[in-house]
Amino acid sequence: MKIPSASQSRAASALVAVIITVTILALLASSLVVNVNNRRMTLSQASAWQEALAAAEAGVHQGIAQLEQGLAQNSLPLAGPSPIAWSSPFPSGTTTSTSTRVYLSHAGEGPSGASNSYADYTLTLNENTTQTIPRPYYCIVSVGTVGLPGGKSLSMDSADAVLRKLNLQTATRTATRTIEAWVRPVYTTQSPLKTDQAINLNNHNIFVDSFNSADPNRSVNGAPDARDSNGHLLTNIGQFDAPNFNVPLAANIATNSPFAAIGNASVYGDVLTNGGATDGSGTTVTNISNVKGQIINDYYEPIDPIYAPQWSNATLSNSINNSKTFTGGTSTNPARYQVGTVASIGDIRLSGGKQVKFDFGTTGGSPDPSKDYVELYVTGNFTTRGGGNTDGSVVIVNGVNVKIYVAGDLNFSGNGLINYNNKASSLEIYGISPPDGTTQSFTLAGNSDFYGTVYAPGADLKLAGGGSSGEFVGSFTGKSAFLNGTTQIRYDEALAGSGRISSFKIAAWFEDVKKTGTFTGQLQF
Amino acid sequence: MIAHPVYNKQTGGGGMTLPEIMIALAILGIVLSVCYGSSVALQRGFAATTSWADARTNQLRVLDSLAADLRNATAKSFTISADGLTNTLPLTLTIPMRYQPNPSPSPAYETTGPLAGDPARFALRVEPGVYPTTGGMQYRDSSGQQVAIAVTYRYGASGTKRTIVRRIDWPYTAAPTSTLALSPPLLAAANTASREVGSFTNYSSASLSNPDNILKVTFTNKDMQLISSSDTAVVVRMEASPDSLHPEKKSVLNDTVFLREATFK
Repeated sequence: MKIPSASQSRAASALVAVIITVTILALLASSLVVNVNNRRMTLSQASAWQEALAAAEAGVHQGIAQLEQGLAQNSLPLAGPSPIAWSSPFPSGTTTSTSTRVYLSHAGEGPSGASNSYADYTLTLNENTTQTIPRPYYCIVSVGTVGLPGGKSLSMDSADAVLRKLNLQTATRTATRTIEAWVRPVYTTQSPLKTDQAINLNNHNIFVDSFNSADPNRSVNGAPDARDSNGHLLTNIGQFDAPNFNVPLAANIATNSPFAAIGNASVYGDVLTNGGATDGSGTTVTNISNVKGQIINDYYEPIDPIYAPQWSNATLSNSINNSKTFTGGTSTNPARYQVGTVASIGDIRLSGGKQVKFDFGTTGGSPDPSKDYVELYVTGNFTTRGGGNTDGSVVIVNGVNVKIYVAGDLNFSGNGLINYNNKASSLEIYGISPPDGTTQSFTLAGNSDFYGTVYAPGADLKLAGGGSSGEFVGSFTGKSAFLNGTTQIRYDEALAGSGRISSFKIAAWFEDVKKTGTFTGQLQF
Repeated sequence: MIAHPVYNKQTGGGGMTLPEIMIALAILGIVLSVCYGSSVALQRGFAATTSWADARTNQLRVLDSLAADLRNATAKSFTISADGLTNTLPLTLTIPMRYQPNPSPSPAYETTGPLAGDPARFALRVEPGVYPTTGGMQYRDSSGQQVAIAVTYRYGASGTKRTIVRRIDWPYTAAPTSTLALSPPLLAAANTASREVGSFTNYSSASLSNPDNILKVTFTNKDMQLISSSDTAVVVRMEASPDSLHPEKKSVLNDTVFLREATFK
């Protein structure tokens, strides 16, 4: 017969008690671990979701950078409306539905390596025609993707899932965010005066206003005013002369620096600076009593450089100091002339009645109105010293369109240039950006009216009116600007969109929270 | 033969003396009280940790939701707090309406359920166009009117909880030439949807009508001043009191949001 042992019974009870205790403790511990881990996963997923936004924005920036590269290489993409795939060097017209992938470095939780954080983006070209000018708008759709760390785990609160819409279903768990950004072109002629460094308007007689040569109600035969043969004013139309046009002020002058000495000049628009101050001891925007618009201090727009033309079909010549006529070609095949080479720089220096003339090309010995485009590249300086009794030293025949690229200094003084088109859009002067540390100056002076646009991002710009009619009709961009005398800048609003595209600017930015499909990237009206 | 249990005379013969029992009971009492105290402290600590974690999770979600809407907004309208020093809720944002119904009778946005206010499952996109006068982008309906939604964040209450509610109203239209910037009081829209984006437990006896007691959301510019139309970023600050024993201890989260869409010129 087996006799029960009291010590055995107590040992069994102790074992049960220990097991129960351990079980309870284990349950408590596991509950704690699950709770803590769930919250940790929620925070990690939120972090990945934030990183996905950074990745998506990186894709947008990469798209913009490639557009800027296209500008520098003069080969903006022409394909559309399908998304455009890119490679280097820049193609100009390959269409495909394949997006471009950008990898980003990723640290911290989750799978390591470049493949854990990336953006897929597409570029789509839309041409939008306003003021009869087709303008390239690009849609960039970028999807940023970041791998989720840890195991498959949903937050305890469904609101997290609603907000972040994480992908937990596939073998590769990810957080994705989609950005649709639209960029629009910025042209070299979109304001009367724009600089990187200081603007100095050194006389209260200076004024900057605007008119619209394409609007018969806001121009006199396309000009800001009308004068008789002696230069006397007959009809006023610009805002300075007759300001009540009931249109928004458009003569904005802008600098990427904080410095703008306005000199109590009349400005029929805003003065925009980058951090300029109008009060206190550190005033950098001074004498603004006659500014009709606002003083804005959060402006910055990059002024892109101009590179030397790489022409293979130009007519080469050495330096010029005698009269010469450059005749035109067609709009699709303009006549191109190059003075000097990079290795042997050539100047144009005119004085004593010598004249450079831009005229129509000929067909059968007669002027051909269809041959009205001339492009000239001066590898050195281009200067006139006046001296002509009737005409200036540079003459543009009415109807001829001229582009001039100057690598050195430019100085048109006296009756330096007469543009018989009386239209600013017919003359574009570009200052090729000099090497770092090299100065460049562009001076326009004299009594005659100047019709044209100047874009010289590396040049110190000087506009000096003389007598009573120092009128500069057009748009002017330089490294810095100095105006004195009775200088008048009369900005032609019809210019906006002509000239070159200098950069692209974001016009719309939108995060698409709908998870199925993406925007088409097409303009609808 | 009758078997008798064998007793150890030395152990079985003598019981515990009274002092031994008293000492044992005293030790047991001390051990139990320590265990109880530890258990209560553990429970409180666990509850406090959970509350803080929940509050932080909710704060983070509200900040993320606010940030996403602020980035998309073309215009903003804040309330000024009672002390006049900061902006606070309600906040009304104007956001271009990028979705349209598909098929036509169905709403462009979910109207009920946990996804209320999100684009509807089968909604179609509204593609933009260019406004010729400025060259800027616009979003229009089929009649050529600009079309936008109003997104409003405000305090709410659910039982003993303070909540943050995101509500959208749509569509709002305006001529292409006008500035579409919505601000309270909003005109009645054809559709509305709202959902809670954050929920915070009320641990104090204060009324839910006092939002600062449980949850405080403020907005300032980068200089900690009231937000003006020229500001390009908003500093969002959210204070919660997740600790029931120490409501004065705040869980604070800050986020600086760049007003992307509103700052394009």
